[in-house]
Amino acid sequence: MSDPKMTDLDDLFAAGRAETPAPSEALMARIRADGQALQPEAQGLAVAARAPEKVSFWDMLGGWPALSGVAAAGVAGVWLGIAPPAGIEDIASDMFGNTASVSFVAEYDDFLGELSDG
Amino acid sequence: MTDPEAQTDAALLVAYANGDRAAAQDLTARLVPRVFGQSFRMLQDQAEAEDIAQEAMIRLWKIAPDWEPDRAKVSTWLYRVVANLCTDKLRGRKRHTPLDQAPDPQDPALSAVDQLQAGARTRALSEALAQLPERQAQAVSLRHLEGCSNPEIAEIMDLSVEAVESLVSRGKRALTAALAHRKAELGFEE
Repeated sequence: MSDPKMTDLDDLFAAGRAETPAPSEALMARIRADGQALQPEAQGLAVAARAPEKVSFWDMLGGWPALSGVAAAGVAGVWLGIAPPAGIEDIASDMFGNTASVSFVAEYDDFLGELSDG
Repeated sequence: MTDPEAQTDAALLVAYANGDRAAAQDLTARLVPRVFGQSFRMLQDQAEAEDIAQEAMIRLWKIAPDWEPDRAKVSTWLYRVVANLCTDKLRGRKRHTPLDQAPDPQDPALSAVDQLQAGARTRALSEALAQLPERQAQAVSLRHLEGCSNPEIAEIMDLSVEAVESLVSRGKRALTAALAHRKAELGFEE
């Protein structure tokens, strides 16, 4: 058997549940406006909207780190041209047929010969 | 999380945080009726309920970028925020308006008797909730005005189910005592 005092209370709760109006359109509009005002920027859109930064020619090539490799390769090529290791000329002959060595700085060739003779 | 409604709320909140403009509108349409309803049922005051609903949603917008879907459901989080904001509001009323001097709502569409038995009852219930300790008021309103189960309330209030049962039981006894001297006015037999 239910407690009459609690039955009264249950009637009050039922009245409280029954009398709920819908939120007004003005409230919905205010809350939507808050939501838009407080919304974080879209990450993709934020990047796209940003003005492009000035990019230099060197940056396009990868900057100094990339160019240092190119410079090292160039120096190695020059060195191999001046003082090719033993066997390189034989390999070149095998691959490309007859080869001819041309000396641009005769004195330098003599100096290298002395170095290799010890 | 297997509740599709909860998944949708969480997905919309993530979309909102990622800048999806439509997500703010969708979340408003989905959540505000429930948020406003909870506020109104506790406070029985349109203007105050609107303020609470707006404040609760502002807190949701602000927390969106840091939202962790695994920690809580959006609906559970909002129940908690609204319950806390409403009990703060009720505590303010308790300081400023004695229960016996609380104004009754006037609705010209209802007869005098109907007003007594509808408007006055709901207003009296809200004023009586203001007399309760905060946690009791929250547990009672979530159980009997929002229709939440005890395990749901336990999750919302971060309590054990046993603690919720105890709070609801004590809260209802306290409400009955607070309303005892208004029984005739509210249309209940002495």
